[in-house]
Amino acid sequence: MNERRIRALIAEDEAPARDSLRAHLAATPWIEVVAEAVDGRSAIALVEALRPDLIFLDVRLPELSGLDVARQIPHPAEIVFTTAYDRFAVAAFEIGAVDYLVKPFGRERLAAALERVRARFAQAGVAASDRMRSALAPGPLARLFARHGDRIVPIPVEGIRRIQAQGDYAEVHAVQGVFLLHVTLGELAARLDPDRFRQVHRSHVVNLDAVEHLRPYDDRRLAITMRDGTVVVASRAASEQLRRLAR
Amino acid sequence: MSARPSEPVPRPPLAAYAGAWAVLATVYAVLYTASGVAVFMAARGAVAAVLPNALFGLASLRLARRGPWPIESRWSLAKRLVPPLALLTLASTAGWLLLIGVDGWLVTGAARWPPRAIVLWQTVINGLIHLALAGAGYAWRAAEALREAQDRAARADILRARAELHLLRSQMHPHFVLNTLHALLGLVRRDPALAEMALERLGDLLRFGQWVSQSGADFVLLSQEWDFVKSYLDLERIRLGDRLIVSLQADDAALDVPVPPFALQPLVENAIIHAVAPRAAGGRIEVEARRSGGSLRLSVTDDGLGVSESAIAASPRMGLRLLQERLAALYGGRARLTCESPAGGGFRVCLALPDDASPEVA
Repeated sequence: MNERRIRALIAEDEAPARDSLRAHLAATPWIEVVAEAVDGRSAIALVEALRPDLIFLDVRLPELSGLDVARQIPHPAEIVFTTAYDRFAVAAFEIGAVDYLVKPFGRERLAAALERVRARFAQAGVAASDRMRSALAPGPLARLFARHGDRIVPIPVEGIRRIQAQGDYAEVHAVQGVFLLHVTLGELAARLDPDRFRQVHRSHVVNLDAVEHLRPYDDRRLAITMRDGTVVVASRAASEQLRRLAR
Repeated sequence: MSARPSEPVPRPPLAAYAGAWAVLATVYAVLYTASGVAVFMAARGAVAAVLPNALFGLASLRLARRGPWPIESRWSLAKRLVPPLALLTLASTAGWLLLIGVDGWLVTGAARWPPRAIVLWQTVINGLIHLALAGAGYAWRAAEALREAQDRAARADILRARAELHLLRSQMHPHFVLNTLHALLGLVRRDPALAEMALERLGDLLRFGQWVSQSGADFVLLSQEWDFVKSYLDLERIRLGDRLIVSLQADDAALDVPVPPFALQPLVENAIIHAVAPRAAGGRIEVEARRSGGSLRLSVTDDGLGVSESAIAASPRMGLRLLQERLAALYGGRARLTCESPAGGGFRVCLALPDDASPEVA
C-alpha cells in the first residue's frame, strides 16, 4: 500500500451504528472517512461530490435503499455492504463478489473485511460498484464474479460448463477453473439465461452449449455427456423437456 | 373491515313444519270422525282447529330470536314471553272461531258456535302449542349458540397456534432484533449505561413474547401490553434517535381492560416500518387508548405517506390480517379493526374492543 489513504464514505441511517463504524475506522490508519450519509439520496450526492474509493453502505436506508444506491452511483468504488441479513441482497453480493458485513458485527469482523478490501485495492480489476451493478441488473447475468483467494475472478457465462449444488453453495465449473459461490443453485439458476442453462436435476445446471451428446439412460431418463467428459443423468421431467427441445 | 360472524345453523325446512301440522290435522279429523261427525265435515273442523295455530306458530317459533342472548333471569324471560304468547294463543282461538263461523254460514246459511267449554278447552290447547313452539325456538337457538362457540373455540386454537408461529417468526422481527443488537454492540464501550438499559429492555421484550407463547394466554391487561410497547419504543428510539417522535396517551381506566396480547405492538411496529424508517426526516406516531361506554378504543396514527384503501385490501399485510382473525375468534364479531388513510397522508389503525372481555375461549 502506498501512502495515499483510502477515502471512505459511511452511509448508515442509525446513529449508534454510524458512531461505531466511525470509531473503528478512526483506528484504521490507511482509511480516512470523508463523509457520512444518513439516507440513500444524500449518499448518492456525496459520492458524486467527493468520489470516495470505498463506501460502507447499509442495505436498508431511508429514501433509497442501499442496493438502489449501488445501482445508481456513477463513480466506480469498492463497496462493503452492511445488513441485518437479507437473503436476496446476500445472493447479489455473492454473485458480484462484494464484501458484506452482517449485523451485528464488531471490530473483529470489520477488521477481516477491511483486510480483504485492502488486498482488493492492491490489485487492478473491476470495481465493486460495477460488479454490483451487473449482479443487480435485470435480466440474465452476463458474467459472475467469484472470490479466489484475495483475488476476484470474472467468469463470463459462456465459459460456464455446468454448476453443481453443494449444500448452500454453488460449484461453478468454468473454462478458468472451478469456483465456489455462497449462493444456492436455485438462486443462481434464476439469474441465468434459460435458453442456455437448464436445470437438469435437483443439483445440476448445465450449459446446453457445452453438451457433447444426449443418450437414453433408462426408459424415462436421459444421460447427458458434457464436452469435458462428465456425465449427468437428467431427471424424468427434465429429460422430457430435453426430448421436446431436440424434436 | 369487521369480524366475520360464523355460519348459522341451517333452519328446519318449512316443509317439515307443514308436515307436522298435517299430521295433527289428521289426528283431529280422525277424532271428530270417531265421535260421529261426517268425514267431510270432520276434515273441515280439523283444518279450522289447526290452520290458525300453524300460521301464528311461525311467530311463536321466532320469539327466541327477538330476545337477548344468553337468556336473562327466568323472571324477566317469563315477563317478556307471556304477553306475546297470550296474544298469539287468543289470535289462534279467534281464527278457529272465525273459520268455524264462516264454514257454518257457507254450509247452512247461519253461523254455528261451539259451546263455551269447548272454546275454553281449545284455547288451553292453543296456549300449550304456542308455549311448546317458543320452547323449540329457544332450543334451536341454544344449539346454534353452542355450535358457534365450538366453531370459535376451534378457530381460536388454530389461530393461537398460528399467532405463536408468527410470534416466533416475525413479531420480534429478526431485523429489529439484529439491528438492535448491532446498535448495542457499539454502545457497550461508548455508553455502557445506555447499553445496560437497552439490554434490560430487550430482555423484557423477549420475556413477554416467550411468556405469551408458553402460557397460551388469550388476554393480558392493557397495562402489560402498554409496558411492552413502551420497552419496544425505547429500543427503537436508540436506533432512530430524533427521527422517531412518539406520543402515548392512555386513560387510567383503559389500562385495566383485558386485551389480546400483541394487539397493539405490531400496529406500532408497522407504523415505524412504513412511516418512520423509510423517511430521512422520520415521522410521528400517536398511540391512544380510551375507554368509554363499555368499549375500549385503541388507535395508532402515523404521519407517513399513507396507503390507499385498495392497496390495504390487496397487500398481504400479514400482521393486520392475523390480528383481525384473532379478534374475530376471541370476540366473535364484537371487536372491530378499521384502517383509514386520509387524502392528506398518514395512516390510522383503530381497534374497538368490548371492555368486558370475559375470555369466552379460555
